[in-house]
Formats: sequence, structure tokens, C-alpha cells
Amino acid sequence: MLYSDQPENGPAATVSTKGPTMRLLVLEDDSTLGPWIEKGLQEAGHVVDHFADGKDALVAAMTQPYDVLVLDRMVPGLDGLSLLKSLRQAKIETPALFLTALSDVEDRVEGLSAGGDDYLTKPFAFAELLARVEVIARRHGGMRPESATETSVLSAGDISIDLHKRTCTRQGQVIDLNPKEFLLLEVFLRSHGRVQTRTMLLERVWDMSFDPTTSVVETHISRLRGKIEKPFGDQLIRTIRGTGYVFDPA
Amino acid sequence: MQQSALRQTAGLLAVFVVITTLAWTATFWLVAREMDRLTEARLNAQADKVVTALAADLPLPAPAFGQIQHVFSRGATDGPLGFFLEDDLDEVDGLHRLRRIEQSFPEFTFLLRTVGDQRILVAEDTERLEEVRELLANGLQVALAGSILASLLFGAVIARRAQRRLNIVSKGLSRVAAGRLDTRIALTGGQDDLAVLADQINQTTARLSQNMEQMRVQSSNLAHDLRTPLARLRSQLERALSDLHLNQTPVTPEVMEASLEQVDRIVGTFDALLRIARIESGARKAGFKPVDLGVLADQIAEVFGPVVEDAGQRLLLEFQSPATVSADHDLLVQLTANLIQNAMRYGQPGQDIGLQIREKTVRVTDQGPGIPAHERQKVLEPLYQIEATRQGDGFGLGLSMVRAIADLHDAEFTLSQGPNAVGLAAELRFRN
Repeated sequence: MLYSDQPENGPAATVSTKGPTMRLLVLEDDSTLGPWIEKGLQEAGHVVDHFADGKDALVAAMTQPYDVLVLDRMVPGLDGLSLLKSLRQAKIETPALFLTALSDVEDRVEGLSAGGDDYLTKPFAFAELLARVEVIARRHGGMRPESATETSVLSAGDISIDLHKRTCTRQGQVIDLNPKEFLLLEVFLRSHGRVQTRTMLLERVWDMSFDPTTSVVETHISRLRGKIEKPFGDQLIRTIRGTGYVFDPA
Repeated sequence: MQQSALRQTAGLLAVFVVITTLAWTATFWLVAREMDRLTEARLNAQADKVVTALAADLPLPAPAFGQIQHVFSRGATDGPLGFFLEDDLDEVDGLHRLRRIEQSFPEFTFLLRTVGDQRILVAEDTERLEEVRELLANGLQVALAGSILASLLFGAVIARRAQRRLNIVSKGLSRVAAGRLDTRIALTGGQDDLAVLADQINQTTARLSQNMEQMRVQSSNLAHDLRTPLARLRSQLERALSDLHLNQTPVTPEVMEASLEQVDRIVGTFDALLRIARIESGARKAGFKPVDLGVLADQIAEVFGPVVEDAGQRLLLEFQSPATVSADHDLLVQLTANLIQNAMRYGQPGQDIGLQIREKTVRVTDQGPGIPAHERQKVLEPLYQIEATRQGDGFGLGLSMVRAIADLHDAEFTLSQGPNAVGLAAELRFRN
């Protein structure tokens, strides 16, 4: 056998993160998906406890400190939603992200009102999961590299933007950006080094909760590149095919 | 066979018989009592007159018509008492009915009264009254029996008819339940409730059958739309695997990325279908807010203008006093985006795509091949694509999502020929 049907490898290691190590709990009973998520999060440098049974996961979540809980909504024993409700009743406020095969708005609302912080529908790209987990963790304190020292200037490498003056400069040269390009660059600078998936960019920059089948993101990224990369002959935004982009100036 | 109509009729009849019998018995009893009361009053009146005459030592009054009257001394055992028996007269004062001795003997009611040592007897032949009473009783019985019989017959006929019609409806419905949606219930006879019901059932079945047909077409289109990327995915994986087996060629990132793209396409089709279903459920109506169509068009142009330009086309914006409508902003963006994507897909480089806002109307025009008039309705159905263009990269759900969004907003959506008889014009007109 040249290949194995066991998920020995996690998701592609092309996704790397520079964030601090997190302690994560994963509740997922699927025998392929569970280990895949566990492996992927470990490769991203996090400590992962994986459970396939809701009751075991609840005991762990009650007794040990986690940064984020990744909960499948439908698992044997105790489903993710009930688990989180029990936790919240016990005044344990660990942030949580739901994984689900249900995608109805009502289910989403139900999950969020039960105390969930985000919601991801199966199937999903691993980078999407990782990016969202990191966003949740940062939002919930502990890891706040940028908001703690909020200034009007964001910069990475030789590029910087001034949020008040709405200006962008690179190597001392002023670059003229339209409002959406500016917002796109701002999102990249704020998430420096972390993957931004297409879905996340659509939500944050264009406020679109649906995926237009045309290449909206690609087009606008390409225009931004034309302004901030092309004149300088290098690459700031790395494309991760099928997933999204990383702003990663050398 | 269901017998509910017959059972109900039988129940109603039983109640009717009981009530009628009670009513007629009460009537008979009241009439009889009234007749007795009148007789007694007449006898008392006569006796009073005799008592008064005796007290005043006046000649006795003549007996009233139809009455017999005797005054005799207490203890008298003889006298012109006629057919009154001696021991009858031993009775105490009061009203008595003369017992019949034999059939030919007339029936009498008599009143006895004692004044001093005189006894007064006033009697009346009540044979007639008895006859009237009997007649009345017989008449009542005949009438009662007649009306019960008549209502039994009538009820049975009505119930049988209703039962037969009910059975037709019930049989029709069980055929529908068994999946035969071409069943139509044909009821003979007037336009009663049952006929209206049958009519409604027929309409429902027709609608259901239409929906089923639509669904059948959609599922086969869906199968097509899913099979194509699945087939590509399968062939990619199979080729990569056989390359690995036969030539020891390692699997390249390109193969994996192409496979992921196919998977994303399949998921995209599913998501779009679910989204349409959710829009059609109408739940989003609660979140309607005022949306300025002019602002909306500007936003659309900002997002999609560059995309259209990269495809070598131009997006031309045109405003004419844009109105504000009550709508779901995100869905309107999606609707307009879908129309522009459609225009891009069928357009050629160098052509123009128009986005026009005129008051409450949003209009997207292109210079592509357009859609033949007879196809324009069909393209709004999920997963329908004109055969010639079916190999296109579209998910075939764009326009049906547009229609679902338009329906949610109670807006009119029409497809027509583009300006100067070229291309397609898609128009959304708000009514609110």
C-alpha cells in the first residue's frame, strides 16, 4: 500500500502561525475529522485535547483551563450545544467555536445565543478553522498584541498606514489607495502573519456574508498588489491556494 | 368502508325520536288534564247553584246541558238514582269517576256534596270526552310514528348520499396518499361543502403534482451539477493514484489543489440550494430595513466594477432619482451581484454591462446572446440552464436565487430583451 486511509497527517503544513501557543479542547466524534483537526492544530503549535464524547469533554472543560473550545454540535453522550450551556451555567466563560453540518440561520443563532463565539459549517478549510480560533482567542483577552497598544499607525516591515490620515507609505513613498483597498490592507496589517481566508476577507472588507462565485477577492487583492508590491518588485501578500492569503512581509 | 355519515344520522334520529315522544306525551297529558279541570269546574258551578237554592229554600235550578242532577237525603237507599249504584253513593264528598260495569255503560264523572242531611249529586256524561281523549291519543301516536318513519327514511337517504360522496373523497385521498398525484375527485350533485372541499383537494393535488414534477427536474439537474464536479474530482484522484502506482510519480500540489477546488464547487452548489430554501422560507422578512438603491448601486459598483473590468467588460452606472425601499440589504447585494455575474458570464470582452437605478427599479443589461422568449420563465427555476450553455461554469442557481429574493421582497422580476434588441435586460421592480 502506497497510501494509508488513516489520517496520519494533519492539514497541509503550508499554514503556519506566529501566535502564541494556545491550549485547545476539540470535541469531534468523527474518526477522520477529529484526528485531522487535532493534528492540524498541533502542527500550528497549539496544545490540543481531543474528545469524541461530550461528557468527557465537559469534565475536562470544567476542570482545566482552555483558551478556546472547538465543539461539534452533534456528538454522542452530550452534544456541543448542551455542553456549552452547562459550562455557561457554571460561570465558565471559555470562548467556543461550533462545528456543524447544519447551516441554517436558526441553528447559527441558537449556537451563538447559547454562548458560542463563532460558527463554522462543515465542510470547511482547515485554515478557516485555525484563523477563526485565533481570532476568538485574541478577542478574549490574554493575547492582544495590537489592540493593547492601539495607535493610529499600523506598520509591518517597510509599509505602514495611518488610520487617522488614511494614508499609506512604503519605503517613504506615499501610495494612493481607495477606501476598500485601504481597509483590505488594514485587515492584513492587523492580522500580520495569520491566514485570512476568502470568507473572512469578504465578511470584514466587503461585509458580504455570501460567497460571490466571481473572483471579487482575487481581483481586489490583485489591484492592491499592483499598488503596494509591483512598484517595489517584491511580495508582501502570499496566496495560499484554495484557502486565502497571508500578509507576511520579509 | 367508512360509515360515519350513517352513524351520525342514526344518532340524530334517536335523539329526535326521544324528544318528539316526550313533547307529544307532555302535550297529551296537558290537554287531558285541562279537559278534566273544565269538567270539574262545570260540576262545581252547578253544585254551588244547588247548594245556594237549598239554603234559600228556592226551587232547585235546572241541570246544565248534558248534566244529571239529584238531591237526596243521606242514607236513602232508593230513589230515582238510575244507573248510579248504591255503594257509589257511600263515597265521601268530592269528584268521582263512575267505574264502568260493562262496555255499553256510558262513562260518567260525578260530584258529591253533603249539605245538612241532604246530598247533592251532579254528574256529567264524560263518555264524549273520553272519546276525544282517546282520539287525541291515537292521533298523536299516528303522527309520532309517521314523523319518525318519515325522518328515518329521509335521514337514511341523506346519510347514504353524504356517505357515498364522503367515500368518493376518501377513496380519492387514499389514492393521492398512495402517490397517484394525477387523481382528481369527481363529485356529482350540487355545490355543497363537500364539493368545495373536493375542489380544494383537487387544487392541492394539482399544485403538489406540479411541485413534484419541478422537484424531479431539479433533482436531476442537481444530480447533473453535482456529478460533473464529482466526476472531475474522481478522475483527478484516480489519475494521480495510478500515476503513483505505475510511474511512481508523486502526487503534486496542483492535483490536490484542483481536487479541493472541485470539492468547493460541490459544497458551493449545496450552499446555494440551502440558501435558496432559507430565503424561500421567508424568515428574513423580519429583518427588512430601509435601503437606498442609489447607495446600494454604488457599493455594488465599487466591489464588482474592477471584477467586470478585469474580464475586459465595462460596468456602466446610471441613476434616475433612486428610491429607498424596505429590504434585506445583504440579499439585495447578492441579487444584484448574481445579475452582474450572469451578465459577465454570457458577455464578451469589449461589451458593456449596464446597472440602472430608476426610482424603485433595478435593471441590469448586457450585450450577450440573451435568452429566447420561451426560455425566460424556465431559467428562473433552480438549476436550469439553457442546454447550449450548460457546460458553462455557473452553478445554475444564480437566477433562481434572484427570483427567490425578489419573491421575498414581493418585488416583480422580469427578463426581457436588452436595449436595441441586443442581449438581456433583467429588471427588479419594488412595489412597496
